[in-house]
Amino acid sequence: MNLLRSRLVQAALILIVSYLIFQFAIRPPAPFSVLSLYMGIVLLAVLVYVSSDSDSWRAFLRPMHATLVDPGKRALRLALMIVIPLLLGYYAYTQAAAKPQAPPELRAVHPAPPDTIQFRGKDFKIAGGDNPLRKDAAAIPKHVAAGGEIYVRNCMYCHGDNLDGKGHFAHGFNPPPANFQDPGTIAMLQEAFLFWRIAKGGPGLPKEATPWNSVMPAWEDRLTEEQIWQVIMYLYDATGQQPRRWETAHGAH
Amino acid sequence: MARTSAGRATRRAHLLRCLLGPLPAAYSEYAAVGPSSAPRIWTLLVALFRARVGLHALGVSLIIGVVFAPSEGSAQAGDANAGKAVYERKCAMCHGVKGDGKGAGAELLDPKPRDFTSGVYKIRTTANKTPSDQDLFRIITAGMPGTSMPPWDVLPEKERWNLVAYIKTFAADKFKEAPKKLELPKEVSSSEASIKRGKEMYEAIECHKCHGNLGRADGPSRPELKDDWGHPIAPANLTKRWTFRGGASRTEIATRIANGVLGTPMPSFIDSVEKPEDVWHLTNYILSLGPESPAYATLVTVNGTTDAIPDDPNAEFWKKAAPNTIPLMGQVIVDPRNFNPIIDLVIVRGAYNDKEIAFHLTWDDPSQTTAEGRADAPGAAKKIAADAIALQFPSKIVPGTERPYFLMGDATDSVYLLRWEGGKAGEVSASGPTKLKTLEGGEVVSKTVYENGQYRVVIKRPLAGKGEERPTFQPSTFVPVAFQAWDGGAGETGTRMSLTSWYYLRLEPPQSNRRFVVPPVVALLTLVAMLLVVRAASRGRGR
Repeated sequence: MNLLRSRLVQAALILIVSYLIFQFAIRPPAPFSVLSLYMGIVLLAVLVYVSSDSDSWRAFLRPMHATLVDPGKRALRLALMIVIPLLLGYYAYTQAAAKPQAPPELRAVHPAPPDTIQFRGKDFKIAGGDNPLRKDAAAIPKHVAAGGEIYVRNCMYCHGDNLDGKGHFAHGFNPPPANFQDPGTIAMLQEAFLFWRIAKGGPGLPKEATPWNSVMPAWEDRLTEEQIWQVIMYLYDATGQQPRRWETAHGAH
Repeated sequence: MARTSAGRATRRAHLLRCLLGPLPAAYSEYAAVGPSSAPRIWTLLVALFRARVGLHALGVSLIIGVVFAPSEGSAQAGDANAGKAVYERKCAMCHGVKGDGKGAGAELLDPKPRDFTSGVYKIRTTANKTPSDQDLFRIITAGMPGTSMPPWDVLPEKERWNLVAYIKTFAADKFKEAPKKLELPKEVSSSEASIKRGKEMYEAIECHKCHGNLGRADGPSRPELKDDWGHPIAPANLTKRWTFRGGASRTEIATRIANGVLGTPMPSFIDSVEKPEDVWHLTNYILSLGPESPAYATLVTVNGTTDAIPDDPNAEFWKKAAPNTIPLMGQVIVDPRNFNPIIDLVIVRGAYNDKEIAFHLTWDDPSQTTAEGRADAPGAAKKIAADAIALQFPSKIVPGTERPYFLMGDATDSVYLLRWEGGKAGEVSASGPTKLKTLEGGEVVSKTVYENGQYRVVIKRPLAGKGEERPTFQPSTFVPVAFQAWDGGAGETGTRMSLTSWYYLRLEPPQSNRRFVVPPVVALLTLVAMLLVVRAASRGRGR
């Protein structure tokens, strides 16, 4: 295949194939900023590859140069001269006519937890902390049942009957309530992290997590320490997720 | 025959949409990226590419859709024993382990969860009191809009049929009588004449007694309505079709009119209408009362004008202004909480000129109440307060994303409330939901209209804010805004309110012609640049 030997075609193919891989083979999908970073790196690599020696570089440039000057490619040249300005003009139109969008709200979804918090006037260890109610395995079903009742009377309105973040009030709030069925939420967090989030709610978030806009109440005003641990146990039980453990280096001391 | 050709036409329309759809979608995608720092051309390429890939995906799904049409719809015999396990995990929290509607969550819910031991079901497509299995399956699958029953389509179909079998066991004797299918009269399509006839029937069979003259659930009987269990029950707001318990399709609405909603004051009307097909005229009238679904805004736009802004909420000016529909939710952070808010949306329109800014708010409230009490029943024994609504802004509008706490600010950052209460607007500074301070000496004016269960209010103030506690509005900036509302007639006051978190509001300068000037310039410049490149390249070769 002569076409495949062409440096330009090769470069284009590499770009397309890597784009397809980044876009469709990575799960969960990478955000746009990461994608463009990867593609930038690939583009650089391709440029290094085609310019590795001067023959290759000339071969890469030849088809482009030919399009610009060859008398035989006049029709193509003309077509490009019409199509590209039109495309850019249309692009400019969509930009100029675009309705303003609300500015994006960048926020840290799972901000780093503090080492300790104040819970109803006493120091409470978060980093490395574990759920004390799990020690007595026989009592776990009782705690889960109690947690379920707390959930349905307090949390369900936003986080949903099915714990999927689709409660009564979910569609009215931004940021949306957490979806506990999503493996990206409680499954990658420690129980003590959840304790912090439940106890301190939106107002207890650090600035990078936009505390002014989270509608999550600070439940320390309403629930006891035991009740918070119980509702945490219910979340894991009802979704079938496992809490993340603290790294051993942390848990050792 | 007609049916197949109609089917083919819709399929063709669908195909066409699939083929043509992705391209504009691609453009809007990169347009949405907007003024970000991402390289725009790259965005364009990616978007175009995605559109093409999307096209293939759509094509494939189209084929799959045709070959493996979903088999849902045909009733299956469920296994009640298997259903019990699912029930106890997913349903018992509200409906109770015994099926009596007394689960742990029931207390706070309104409407209450169904008591399965009664065997009474609201939504039936049957002519007698027994719902069909298909009816029960549909409710489990689609949920009941406007209530706490969510759609359980996340459960496998088999499990939903098992649930149907299980919940029937709570009142087995009620299912002894076989369901008898309700035959609806021949369908009448919508037309002006049909809607007119529907409106006549609406009055003739006294729908307005509960549902109100324009369907806004404000009829005079509303306060006395109770369900079979003695709980107060609100009539449906017919202008909000998306909250209809049994679905909002033509057939579903006609069925509700024909056989009623069991266990509620909504009776069967198939024998009360003059002719059976009046059921369809009524349906067409109801469908004409409101939109199919609310188009919720993500940004509140306030348009600039060079004219004076009218105070009258019914002025033609406001009918032309673009509506921004905002959903309101219950306040469940501070005691007393409000799990079942009455006001669920407000439509906001805005305008400004070089001197003042005005907001036009529209919301449904079934009873007008002022500080003195209910307008229609003075001295009513029920605990009531004045109806109220508020627009909330930061006391000081600063650049950046940081804002006061959305729930009326806190001790460190206060908010400014443009607050209307019982017919009069004023200004309030708040540093917490219970820490309110009325601001004196403002220049706020307002005008209120209350008609057929709906408030329309215009609130106006100068663009520039006097003093530290009033924000100044500037064109082309994003201003944080939030909303709160109280139905005083339902006892909502203080922290018992509906609210939103922060939105953005933008004062849009009067439409400029920039969008017609910039694109040709861009195209021309590109062409010139390309010509220069070609010329440079041919010179280079000539050398």
